[in-house]
Amino acid sequence: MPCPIVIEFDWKAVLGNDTHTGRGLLSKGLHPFRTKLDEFTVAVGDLIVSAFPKAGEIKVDFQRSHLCDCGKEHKLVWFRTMKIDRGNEASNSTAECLLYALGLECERGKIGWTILPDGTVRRGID
Amino acid sequence: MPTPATVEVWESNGTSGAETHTQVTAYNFGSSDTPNLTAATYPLVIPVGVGPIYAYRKFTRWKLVTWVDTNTIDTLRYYKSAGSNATGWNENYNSVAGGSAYGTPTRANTLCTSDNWPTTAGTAFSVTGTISNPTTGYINSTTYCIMNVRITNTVVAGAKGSHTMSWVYNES
Repeated sequence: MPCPIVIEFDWKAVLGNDTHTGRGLLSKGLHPFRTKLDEFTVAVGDLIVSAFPKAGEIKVDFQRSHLCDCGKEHKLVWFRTMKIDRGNEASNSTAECLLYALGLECERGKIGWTILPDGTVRRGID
Repeated sequence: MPTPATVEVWESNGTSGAETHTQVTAYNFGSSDTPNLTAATYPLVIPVGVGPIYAYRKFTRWKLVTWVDTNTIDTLRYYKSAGSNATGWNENYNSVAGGSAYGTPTRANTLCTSDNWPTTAGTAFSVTGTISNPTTGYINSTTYCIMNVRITNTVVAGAKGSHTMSWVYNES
């Protein structure tokens, strides 16, 4: 069996009056509510990276704010990209986490941040 | 505790409609439609004329085996992340948007009409497919990654080295 290597981040999600916390990907119970969340925040080292689906806003470290003014529904983007390599060696069977992406998706596309496993945060979602 | 889904790479072989499916640890091309092929057993014979001659093309899919806390897997793509081509040895792949359906693997120069596999994550070729918890099985059930290699008479006999193919997907 593959032996996946994944870095996971702690997160906090606010849905109405309820605050949920977790680690890694969004929990099954919250996944259907990606457009309804008031806030989704991830701690990346000392950085706080947030998306606000209902407001169409994203923030990093409470300093920058990008408001998407499309007027349409925004969906939380929170995924990790995994990679499986296949060479000519039978032992090459481990999934690797390349990055996480946090942001918002609407009809204009995705806005947000890419979080690398070493904790580097850069603008844009690939 | 890290809890990603378990995803494997599987190859399909045989006559369309009666194909077999195998988890592959390698992706070796040769003169037989065989998974985990031993190249020395099924070598490509250097053409007498210029050529080229082709190997049997490969049909590959991602297979979701185990869910843990992942909700959905999508955004499938693949590329060559390492390896360089020897003289007289080159690559082909199917670049039909989203991938193509299975067809009995042959050595004909059809389906895989685009040269040179993508070599960066940014240019990786996208294949249509998504799967959501709790369904298990092939993520790109009807859209395959299809690849092949070819040689010409300028190739030097012997093993042509290895390439690393990377199969990428998003978990959310």
